[in-house]
Amino acid sequence: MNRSKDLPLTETTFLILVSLTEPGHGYRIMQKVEELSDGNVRIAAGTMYGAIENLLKLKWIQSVPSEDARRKMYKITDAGIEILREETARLRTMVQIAEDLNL
Amino acid sequence: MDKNKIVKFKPFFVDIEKEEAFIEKYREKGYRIESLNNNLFKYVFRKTENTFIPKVKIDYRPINGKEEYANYLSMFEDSGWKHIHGTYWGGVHYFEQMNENTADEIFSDRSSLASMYRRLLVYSVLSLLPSIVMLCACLINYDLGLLFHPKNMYFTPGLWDMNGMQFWRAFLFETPFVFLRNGFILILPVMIIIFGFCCIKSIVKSRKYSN
Repeated sequence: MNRSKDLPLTETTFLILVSLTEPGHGYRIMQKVEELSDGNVRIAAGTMYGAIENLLKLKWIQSVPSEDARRKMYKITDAGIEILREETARLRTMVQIAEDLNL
Repeated sequence: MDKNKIVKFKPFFVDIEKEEAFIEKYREKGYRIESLNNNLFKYVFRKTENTFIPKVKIDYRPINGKEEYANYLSMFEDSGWKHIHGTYWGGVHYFEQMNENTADEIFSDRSSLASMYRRLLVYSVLSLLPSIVMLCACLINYDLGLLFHPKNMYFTPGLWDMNGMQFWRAFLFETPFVFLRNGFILILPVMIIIFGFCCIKSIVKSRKYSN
Protein backbone atom coordinates (compact mmCIF):
# COMPACT_ATOMS: atom_id res chain seq x y z
CA MET A 1 0.00 0.00 0.00
CA ASN A 2 1.25 3.43 -0.87
CA ARG A 3 0.88 5.29 2.41
CA SER A 4 0.77 9.07 2.72
CA LYS A 5 3.92 10.47 4.30
CA ASP A 6 1.72 12.51 6.62
CA LEU A 7 0.63 9.41 8.52
CA PRO A 8 0.38 8.62 11.37
CA LEU A 9 -1.42 11.70 12.69
CA THR A 10 -0.87 12.83 16.25
CA GLU A 11 -3.78 12.37 18.61
CA THR A 12 -4.22 16.15 18.69
CA THR A 13 -4.34 16.52 14.89
CA PHE A 14 -6.74 13.61 14.58
CA LEU A 15 -9.12 15.07 17.15
CA ILE A 16 -8.96 18.60 15.70
CA LEU A 17 -9.83 17.23 12.25
CA VAL A 18 -12.71 15.23 13.69
CA SER A 19 -13.96 18.35 15.53
CA LEU A 20 -13.90 20.35 12.33
CA THR A 21 -16.29 18.06 10.47
CA GLU A 22 -18.62 20.78 11.79
CA PRO A 23 -17.46 24.42 11.44
CA GLY A 24 -16.03 25.94 14.61
CA HIS A 25 -13.71 28.67 15.90
CA GLY A 26 -10.51 28.11 17.87
CA TYR A 27 -11.92 27.86 21.37
CA ARG A 28 -14.84 25.70 20.19
CA ILE A 29 -12.30 23.22 18.80
CA MET A 30 -10.47 23.16 22.14
CA GLN A 31 -13.71 22.36 23.97
CA LYS A 32 -14.73 19.72 21.47
CA VAL A 33 -11.38 17.95 21.56
CA GLU A 34 -11.64 17.80 25.34
CA GLU A 35 -15.17 16.35 25.13
CA LEU A 36 -14.24 13.80 22.45
CA SER A 37 -11.28 12.57 24.51
CA ASP A 38 -13.17 12.46 27.83
CA GLY A 39 -10.98 15.25 29.13
CA ASN A 40 -7.72 13.45 28.32
CA VAL A 41 -6.53 15.78 25.57
CA ARG A 42 -6.46 19.42 26.53
CA ILE A 43 -4.94 21.73 23.96
CA ALA A 44 -3.57 25.01 25.29
CA ALA A 45 -4.23 28.28 23.44
CA GLY A 46 -0.77 28.71 21.88
CA THR A 47 -0.62 25.10 20.74
CA MET A 48 -4.14 25.36 19.28
CA TYR A 49 -3.31 28.48 17.28
CA GLY A 50 -0.17 26.85 15.88
CA ALA A 51 -2.05 23.65 15.02
CA ILE A 52 -4.69 25.60 13.07
CA GLU A 53 -1.99 27.52 11.18
CA ASN A 54 -0.32 24.25 10.33
CA LEU A 55 -3.52 22.53 9.15
CA LEU A 56 -4.40 25.56 7.01
CA LYS A 57 -0.98 25.32 5.40
CA LEU A 58 -1.52 21.61 4.69
CA LYS A 59 -4.96 22.57 3.26
CA TRP A 60 -6.65 19.96 5.46
CA ILE A 61 -8.86 22.68 6.91
CA GLN A 62 -10.03 26.02 5.53
CA SER A 63 -11.35 29.27 6.88
CA VAL A 64 -15.11 29.75 6.35
CA PRO A 65 -17.20 32.96 6.70
CA SER A 66 -17.81 33.91 10.32
CA GLU A 67 -20.50 36.12 11.89
CA ASP A 68 -18.07 37.15 14.62
CA ALA A 69 -15.42 39.52 13.21
CA ARG A 70 -13.02 38.67 16.04
CA ARG A 71 -13.27 34.90 15.69
CA LYS A 72 -12.47 33.02 12.51
CA MET A 73 -14.38 29.85 11.70
CA TYR A 74 -12.71 26.78 10.25
CA LYS A 75 -13.93 23.65 8.56
CA ILE A 76 -12.33 20.44 7.32
CA THR A 77 -11.61 20.20 3.55
CA ASP A 78 -11.98 17.20 1.24
CA ALA A 79 -8.24 16.60 1.57
CA GLY A 80 -8.69 16.64 5.36
CA ILE A 81 -11.48 14.10 5.20
CA GLU A 82 -9.34 11.91 2.95
CA ILE A 83 -6.43 11.98 5.44
CA LEU A 84 -8.85 11.17 8.29
CA ARG A 85 -10.05 8.14 6.31
CA GLU A 86 -6.50 6.96 5.69
CA GLU A 87 -5.61 7.39 9.34
CA THR A 88 -8.74 5.55 10.45
CA ALA A 89 -7.86 2.66 8.14
CA ARG A 90 -4.35 2.59 9.57
CA LEU A 91 -5.68 2.58 13.12
CA ARG A 92 -8.12 -0.20 12.26
CA THR A 93 -5.21 -2.34 11.03
CA MET A 94 -3.30 -1.62 14.25
CA VAL A 95 -6.29 -2.58 16.37
CA GLN A 96 -6.74 -5.74 14.31
CA ILE A 97 -3.13 -6.78 14.94
CA ALA A 98 -3.61 -6.33 18.68
CA GLU A 99 -6.92 -8.13 18.72
CA ASP A 100 -5.48 -11.11 16.84
CA LEU A 101 -3.16 -11.54 19.81
CA ASN A 102 -6.15 -11.50 22.14
CA LEU A 103 -4.78 -8.46 23.96
CA MET B 1 9.36 56.05 47.05
CA ASP B 2 6.64 53.46 46.74
CA LYS B 3 7.68 50.53 48.92
CA ASN B 4 5.33 48.09 47.25
CA LYS B 5 6.65 48.74 43.79
CA ILE B 6 9.72 47.17 42.18
CA VAL B 7 11.12 48.37 38.87
CA LYS B 8 13.64 46.10 37.13
CA PHE B 9 15.58 46.49 33.93
CA LYS B 10 16.72 43.22 32.43
CA PRO B 11 17.49 42.34 28.82
CA PHE B 12 16.45 38.78 27.94
CA PHE B 13 16.81 38.86 24.15
CA VAL B 14 15.27 35.62 22.94
CA ASP B 15 15.23 33.42 26.02
CA ILE B 16 11.51 33.45 26.64
CA GLU B 17 11.63 30.73 29.27
CA LYS B 18 14.15 32.71 31.31
CA GLU B 19 12.00 35.81 31.05
CA GLU B 20 8.96 33.86 32.26
CA ALA B 21 10.99 32.40 35.13
CA PHE B 22 12.12 35.90 36.12
CA ILE B 23 8.52 37.13 36.32
CA GLU B 24 7.49 33.92 38.10
CA LYS B 25 10.14 34.49 40.79
CA TYR B 26 8.42 37.76 41.77
CA ARG B 27 4.99 36.15 41.56
CA GLU B 28 6.06 33.57 44.13
CA LYS B 29 7.13 36.40 46.42
CA GLY B 30 3.68 37.97 46.15
CA TYR B 31 4.28 40.46 43.32
CA ARG B 32 2.06 40.93 40.33
CA ILE B 33 3.40 42.44 37.14
CA GLU B 34 1.94 45.91 36.76
CA SER B 35 3.41 46.91 33.44
CA LEU B 36 6.24 45.93 31.19
CA ASN B 37 8.00 47.11 28.09
CA ASN B 38 10.21 44.51 26.49
CA ASN B 39 11.79 47.04 24.14
CA LEU B 40 13.10 49.01 27.12
CA PHE B 41 13.70 45.77 29.07
CA LYS B 42 11.55 47.31 31.82
CA TYR B 43 9.41 45.33 34.27
CA VAL B 44 7.28 46.90 37.01
CA PHE B 45 5.98 44.69 39.83
CA ARG B 46 3.60 45.52 42.64
CA LYS B 47 3.14 43.69 45.93
CA THR B 48 -0.35 42.28 46.35
CA GLU B 49 -2.26 40.64 49.20
CA ASN B 50 -4.43 38.62 46.80
CA THR B 51 -4.19 34.85 47.14
CA PHE B 52 -4.44 34.47 43.37
CA ILE B 53 -1.64 36.12 41.46
CA PRO B 54 -1.84 35.44 37.72
CA LYS B 55 0.99 33.68 35.93
CA VAL B 56 2.51 35.38 32.91
CA LYS B 57 3.25 33.44 29.72
CA ILE B 58 4.93 34.66 26.54
CA ASP B 59 4.39 33.65 22.92
CA TYR B 60 6.53 34.69 19.99
CA ARG B 61 4.54 34.72 16.76
CA PRO B 62 4.59 37.12 13.83
CA ILE B 63 0.94 37.77 12.96
CA ASN B 64 -0.34 38.59 9.53
CA GLY B 65 -2.51 41.72 9.92
CA LYS B 66 -4.89 43.25 12.44
CA GLU B 67 -7.81 40.99 11.67
CA GLU B 68 -5.76 37.87 12.28
CA TYR B 69 -4.41 39.43 15.48
CA ALA B 70 -7.97 39.84 16.81
CA ASN B 71 -8.62 36.18 16.01
CA TYR B 72 -5.38 35.17 17.76
CA LEU B 73 -6.14 37.21 20.88
CA SER B 74 -9.72 35.89 21.02
CA MET B 75 -8.43 32.34 21.12
CA PHE B 76 -6.33 33.20 24.16
CA GLU B 77 -9.08 35.27 25.82
CA ASP B 78 -11.65 32.51 25.37
CA SER B 79 -9.32 30.07 27.09
CA GLY B 80 -8.65 32.39 30.03
CA TRP B 81 -5.55 34.36 28.98
CA LYS B 82 -5.64 38.13 29.09
CA HIS B 83 -3.33 39.94 26.70
CA ILE B 84 -1.16 42.38 28.68
CA HIS B 85 1.56 43.49 26.29
CA GLY B 86 2.52 43.26 22.63
CA THR B 87 1.43 44.55 19.25
CA TYR B 88 0.45 42.72 16.09
CA TRP B 89 3.58 43.87 14.34
CA GLY B 90 5.88 43.19 17.29
CA GLY B 91 5.89 39.40 17.38
CA VAL B 92 6.17 39.05 21.16
CA HIS B 93 2.89 38.65 23.04
CA TYR B 94 2.46 38.59 26.82
CA PHE B 95 -0.51 36.93 28.49
CA GLU B 96 -1.72 36.77 32.07
CA GLN B 97 -4.08 34.20 33.61
CA MET B 98 -7.60 35.59 34.08
CA ASN B 99 -8.48 33.35 37.02
CA GLU B 100 -7.62 30.16 38.93
CA ASN B 101 -9.30 28.00 36.30
CA THR B 102 -6.94 29.06 33.52
CA ALA B 103 -4.47 26.36 32.45
CA ASP B 104 -0.87 26.76 33.65
CA GLU B 105 0.65 26.78 30.18
CA ILE B 106 -0.05 28.23 26.76
CA PHE B 107 1.72 25.29 25.07
CA SER B 108 0.41 21.84 25.84
CA ASP B 109 3.07 19.87 23.98
CA ARG B 110 6.80 20.06 23.42
CA SER B 111 6.56 20.30 19.66
CA SER B 112 4.63 23.59 19.77
CA LEU B 113 7.27 24.97 22.15
CA ALA B 114 9.95 23.79 19.70
CA SER B 115 8.07 25.57 16.90
CA MET B 116 8.15 28.82 18.86
CA TYR B 117 11.95 28.61 19.13
CA ARG B 118 12.15 27.86 15.41
CA ARG B 119 10.18 31.06 14.74
CA LEU B 120 12.60 32.90 17.01
CA LEU B 121 15.49 31.41 15.07
CA VAL B 122 14.10 32.81 11.81
CA TYR B 123 13.78 36.20 13.49
CA SER B 124 17.35 36.07 14.83
CA VAL B 125 18.81 35.05 11.49
CA LEU B 126 16.87 37.81 9.71
CA SER B 127 18.32 40.31 12.19
CA LEU B 128 21.83 38.88 12.02
CA LEU B 129 22.27 38.83 8.24
CA PRO B 130 21.65 42.56 7.56
CA SER B 131 24.08 43.46 10.37
CA ILE B 132 26.78 41.30 8.79
CA VAL B 133 26.13 42.73 5.32
CA MET B 134 26.19 46.28 6.71
CA LEU B 135 29.44 45.68 8.57
CA CYS B 136 31.10 44.21 5.47
CA ALA B 137 29.89 47.15 3.36
CA CYS B 138 31.25 49.60 5.94
CA LEU B 139 34.61 47.85 6.26
CA ILE B 140 35.36 48.26 2.53
CA ASN B 141 35.77 52.02 2.98
CA TYR B 142 37.01 52.05 6.53
CA ASP B 143 40.60 52.54 7.65
CA LEU B 144 40.95 49.97 10.44
CA GLY B 145 44.13 51.70 11.61
CA LEU B 146 41.86 54.33 13.17
CA LEU B 147 40.86 51.82 15.84
CA PHE B 148 44.46 51.73 17.06
CA HIS B 149 44.93 55.50 16.76
CA PRO B 150 41.56 56.90 17.86
CA LYS B 151 43.05 60.41 17.97
CA ASN B 152 43.08 60.40 14.16
CA MET B 153 39.29 60.10 14.18
CA TYR B 154 39.22 63.82 14.98
CA PHE B 155 39.73 66.14 12.02
CA THR B 156 39.99 69.54 13.78
CA PRO B 157 43.44 70.89 12.85
CA GLY B 158 45.78 71.12 15.84
CA LEU B 159 43.12 69.75 18.24
CA TRP B 160 45.54 67.65 20.27
CA ASP B 161 47.90 70.60 20.83
CA MET B 162 45.19 72.82 22.28
CA ASN B 163 44.84 73.49 26.01
CA GLY B 164 42.13 74.09 28.59
CA MET B 165 38.73 75.42 27.54
CA GLN B 166 39.77 75.82 23.96
CA PHE B 167 40.57 72.08 23.75
CA TRP B 168 37.35 70.94 25.47
CA ARG B 169 35.17 73.19 23.34
CA ALA B 170 36.66 71.88 20.11
CA PHE B 171 36.78 68.29 21.39
CA LEU B 172 33.15 68.20 22.53
CA PHE B 173 32.02 69.96 19.35
CA GLU B 174 33.55 67.33 17.12
CA THR B 175 32.72 64.24 19.23
CA PRO B 176 29.16 63.76 17.85
CA PHE B 177 30.56 63.84 14.32
CA VAL B 178 33.22 61.30 15.28
CA PHE B 179 30.44 59.01 16.48
CA LEU B 180 28.51 59.50 13.26
CA ARG B 181 31.59 58.59 11.24
CA ASN B 182 32.85 55.72 13.40
CA GLY B 183 29.92 54.54 15.54
CA PHE B 184 28.89 51.72 13.23
CA ILE B 185 32.29 50.07 13.51
CA LEU B 186 31.71 49.76 17.27
CA ILE B 187 27.96 49.09 17.28
CA LEU B 188 27.63 46.59 14.43
CA PRO B 189 30.01 44.00 15.94
CA VAL B 190 28.09 44.23 19.23
CA MET B 191 24.81 43.68 17.37
CA ILE B 192 26.31 40.76 15.47
CA ILE B 193 27.43 39.16 18.73
CA ILE B 194 23.99 39.65 20.32
CA PHE B 195 22.06 38.31 17.31
CA GLY B 196 24.56 35.47 16.90
CA PHE B 197 23.99 34.58 20.53
CA CYS B 198 20.21 34.71 19.90
CA CYS B 199 20.58 32.31 16.95
CA ILE B 200 22.57 29.79 18.99
CA LYS B 201 20.14 30.05 21.89
CA SER B 202 17.08 29.40 19.72
CA ILE B 203 18.79 26.47 17.97
CA VAL B 204 19.64 24.90 21.35
CA LYS B 205 16.12 25.38 22.69
CA SER B 206 14.29 24.19 19.58
CA ARG B 207 16.45 21.06 19.54
CA LYS B 208 15.82 20.47 23.22
CA TYR B 209 12.06 20.40 22.65
CA SER B 210 12.16 18.61 19.30
CA ASN B 211 12.98 15.17 20.67
